[in-house]
Amino acid sequence: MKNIHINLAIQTGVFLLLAAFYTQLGGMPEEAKGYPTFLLAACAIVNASILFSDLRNLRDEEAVEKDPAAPAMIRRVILYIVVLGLYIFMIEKIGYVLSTLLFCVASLQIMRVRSWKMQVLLPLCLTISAYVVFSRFLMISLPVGTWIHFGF
Amino acid sequence: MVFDINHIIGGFFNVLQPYNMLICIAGLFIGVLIGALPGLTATMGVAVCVPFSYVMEPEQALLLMSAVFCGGVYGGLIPAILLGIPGTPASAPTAFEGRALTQAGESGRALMAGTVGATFGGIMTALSLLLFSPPLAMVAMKVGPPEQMMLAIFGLSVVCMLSPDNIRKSLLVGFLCLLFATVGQDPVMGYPRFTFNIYQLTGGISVIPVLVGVFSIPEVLKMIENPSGKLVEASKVSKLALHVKDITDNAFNLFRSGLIGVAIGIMPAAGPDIAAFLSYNEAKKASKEPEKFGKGSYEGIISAETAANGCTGGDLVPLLTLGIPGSAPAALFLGAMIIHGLRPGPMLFTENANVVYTMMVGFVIINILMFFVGWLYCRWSSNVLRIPKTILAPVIVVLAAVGTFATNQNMFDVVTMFVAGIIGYGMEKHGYSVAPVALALLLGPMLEEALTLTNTMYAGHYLMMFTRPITVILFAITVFSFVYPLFKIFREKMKSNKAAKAQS
Repeated sequence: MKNIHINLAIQTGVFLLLAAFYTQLGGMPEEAKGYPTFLLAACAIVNASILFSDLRNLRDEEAVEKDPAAPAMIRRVILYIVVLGLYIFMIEKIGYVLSTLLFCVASLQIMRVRSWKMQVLLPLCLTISAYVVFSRFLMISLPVGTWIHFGF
Repeated sequence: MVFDINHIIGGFFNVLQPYNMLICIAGLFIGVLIGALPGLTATMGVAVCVPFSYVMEPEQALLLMSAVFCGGVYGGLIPAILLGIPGTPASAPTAFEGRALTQAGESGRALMAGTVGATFGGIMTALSLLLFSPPLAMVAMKVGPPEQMMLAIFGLSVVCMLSPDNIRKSLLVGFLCLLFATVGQDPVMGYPRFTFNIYQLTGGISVIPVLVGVFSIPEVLKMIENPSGKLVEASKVSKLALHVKDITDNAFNLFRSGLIGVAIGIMPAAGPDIAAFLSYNEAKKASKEPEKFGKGSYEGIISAETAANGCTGGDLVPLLTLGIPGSAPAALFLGAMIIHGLRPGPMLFTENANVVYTMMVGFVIINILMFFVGWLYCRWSSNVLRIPKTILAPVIVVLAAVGTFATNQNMFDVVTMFVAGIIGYGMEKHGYSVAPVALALLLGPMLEEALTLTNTMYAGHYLMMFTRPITVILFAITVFSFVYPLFKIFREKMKSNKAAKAQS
C-alpha cells in the first residue's frame, strides 16, 4: 500500500468527521453556531487542499519497499493497543489494583520478558507505589471495581 | 499600598527561620514530584496543600503553597526532556526539543538548561511580584476581552511556526483542535454543542487527558515497536553540566522569555502553558538557528521554561493587590488566605504586611532553592534512561492512566487519553505534528469567549477595540510576528543572491 493511499484515507476520514459535526449544527441557536461554522469551513478548505495535492501526487509516488520485520511489529503494536484498551475498560470493572497487576503481566508478556522475578516484582511494585502516591498521598479514591470490589 | 524596605527585610528574616526554610524545601520536593507525574499539574499540587495549611501559621501555609506551585510548574520539564512526555501542559514545547537532545546524548545539558531557565524566570517573576506589584496590577486591570482575543490570535500564529515543513497539515490539526475545543457548552447561552448525546461531553473535552495521551501513548507504542534495549545507549546518558556559553548566548532569550512570562502571568485566564508556547515561538523567530527548533534546541528549552516559571509570580499580582484571582492556582491561594483570616486586596499590604511580605520574599528564595532541588531531581531522574523499555512502557501507561484519572476522578478522561494517544500515534506516523494540538486546545476556549465578549462590548464594531492601548500593542506584536519571519527569509535570499553574484 502506498503512503498516499493512507493519506487519502485520512483526508476522507476527516471529511466524514466534519460531516458528523455539520449534522449537529442544525437546531443550534445562531449565537452558538457562528464560530464553529467558521472552523468547520476552515477545516474543510485546508483538508480539501491537502486532498488535491495528494491526488496530484498519486501517480508519481512509488510503492515503498516492505520491511520484513514490519508485520510482526505491527501485530505487536496492535496487540498492545488492544491490551491497553482492555486495561482502561477493566479499571472501572475490577478496580485499579487487579487491572494494573494484570496489565503489567500482559505488557511484559507482549514484550517477551521471561524472567519470573520481573513478572512478579514489576506489577507488585508499580501497583503499590502508584497506589501509595495517588491514594494515600494525594488522597484520590482510585476505582475499586463494579464487578468485583477489590481495593484498600 | 506602600513599598516598604523594612517589611521586605522583616519578610526575609521570617523566611530564613529554619522551620520556614524546611517548609519551602519540602514544598519544592512535593511540587516537583507532582509536576513530573503526567496528568498532575501545579494547580492540583496547590489544591492538595490547602487541607494541610489549616493547621499551619498563615505565613507557613502560603510558603508551602508557593513552593508547591513553583515546583509543580518546574517539574514538568524532567519527563519532557527525558521521555518526551511533558509532565504539565506548559512543558509541551520543552518536550519537542528535549527528546531530540536526549537521543543525541545531551540529556544532562538539556536538563540543566531548563533548570537555569526556570530558576531565572522564577526569580524574575518573584522580584516583579515583590517590587512592581502596584503598577503591574494597574496593567492587569486594563486587560479585558479584546486583549485576551488578541493574545489568543497571537498565540495561534505559533501553529504555522511549529512545523514549517508542512504548514497545511499543521493548520488542519490546529483548526480541528479548535473545533474540538468548541465541544461542550457555548460560552454565551450554555447551549450544548457537538455532544453527540454523550453526557460526559457536555463539560467539553478536557485538555490534560488529551495532552497526556498524545505525548505519552505514542512514546510507549514506539517502545513496543522495538522493545529491546533502553531508551538511549548507556554511553549517551550524559552528566548534568551546562556550558557558560549556553547562558551568555541566551542572555537576551532569558530576559525576553522572563518578561513574556511576567506579562502573561498577570493576564487573567492565561497561564504558564500559553506563556511557554508564546515564548518558544518568539525564541524561534529571533534565533540565528531556527532550523534547530524541533530537532534539539537549547534556546527552545530555555525560552519555554523561563516563560512558564516566569508566570508564577505574575499570576498572584492581581490577587494580592486587587483581591481578584486571575487563575486556578490564584483562586486556591485566595481560599487559603480567607481560611487564615487574610483579606487580599490593597489593605492586605497594611493590615497583614508581615504575612504578605514573608510570602513575597519567600517567592524569591523558593525560586533560588528550586535550582538546587531541581538539580537533585535531575540527577536522580537521569537514571530513568538506564531502565529497559520493557519496564518503562508499563510504568508510563499506568502513571498516565492514573494521573489522568486523578485530574477529575473521572474514567471518561482516561478513555479520552487513550483515544487521543492512538490518534497521536497515527499522526506521528503520517507526518502530522502533535504540537498544534496543545496550543489550539489551550487557546480555543479563551479565543471564543473573548471573541463573543468583544462582540457584545462593541456591538459587532470590532474596530472600536483599537481605542484600547494594550490591544493596539498586542495587535502590532501579532502583525510583527507574522511579518518578521517573512522579512528574515527575504533578507537571507537577498544575501545569498548577492553572494552568488559575487562568486560568478
